[in-house]
Amino acid sequence: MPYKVLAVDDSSTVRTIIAKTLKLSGVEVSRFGEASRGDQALEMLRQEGFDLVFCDLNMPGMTGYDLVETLKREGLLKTIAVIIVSSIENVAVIDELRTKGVRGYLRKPLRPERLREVVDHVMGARHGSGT
Amino acid sequence: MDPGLSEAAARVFAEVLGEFAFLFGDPVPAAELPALVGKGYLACLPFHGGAEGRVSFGVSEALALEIAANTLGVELAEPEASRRAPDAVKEVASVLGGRLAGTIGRPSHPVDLSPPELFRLEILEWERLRVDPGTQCFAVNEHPALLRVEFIPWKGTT
Repeated sequence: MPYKVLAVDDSSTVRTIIAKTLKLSGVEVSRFGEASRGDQALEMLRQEGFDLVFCDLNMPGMTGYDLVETLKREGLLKTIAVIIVSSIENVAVIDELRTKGVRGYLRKPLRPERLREVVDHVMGARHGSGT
Repeated sequence: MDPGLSEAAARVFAEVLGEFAFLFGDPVPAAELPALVGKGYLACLPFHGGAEGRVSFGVSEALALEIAANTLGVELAEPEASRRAPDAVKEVASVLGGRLAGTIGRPSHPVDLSPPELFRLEILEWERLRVDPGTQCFAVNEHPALLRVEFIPWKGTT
């Protein structure tokens, strides 16, 4: 099943990389949305039913942490899977985000095979890869 | 720069450039750094928390273009490469900072990073940074690159 995906990163380069890496990984995408700020992402997620969010942590204004907190408070994490895309390696931070409801973590730079693995794990291998 | 941090910075620089942009850089003495042609970019990434300071990553315009092209998988001549070059430099700085954060801070006193800020450098500013003892110099495909980790001394009262 193709997914509605939202990429949240203040870097347009990273958003482009996420789109290209998804394509290379073979993950099917029916809609690819982009947000350069956390508050913009929040509005899009409130209005539209995205399945999967790739979210940076370190952004100006509403950070990825703030966005996850708000999504959790509003109950949106029950239906939206958030995967953090970051360069941080602090296990305590990643563990804390998981307890808040974040479903996966991808270290930058992205690699298609790793992205596929995490998406399959997070979404329960529902997109019919046959693997 | 502290020798341990300097060593970690050089390792992380090589890792990130290689993984992110398929480019390979060698540490060189400041006197042997390839000359800057045109202007440079400097991305500064402040950190705070367990320690306060900033990570700075400087490249020539030509190297910024190569980083963008390689990162996005486009040709150097494509307009997308030049359009995205400044953003790509910021992104590499962000990844460098993220990878160095564990070395800059300690498990009990981790550091938090702020988003990077980008500056254009004229030759005089570039030269000032190049010869500063706190700067590590790298030659990447015959282009110059600079890396600095600066700490702001704590000024509070006891």
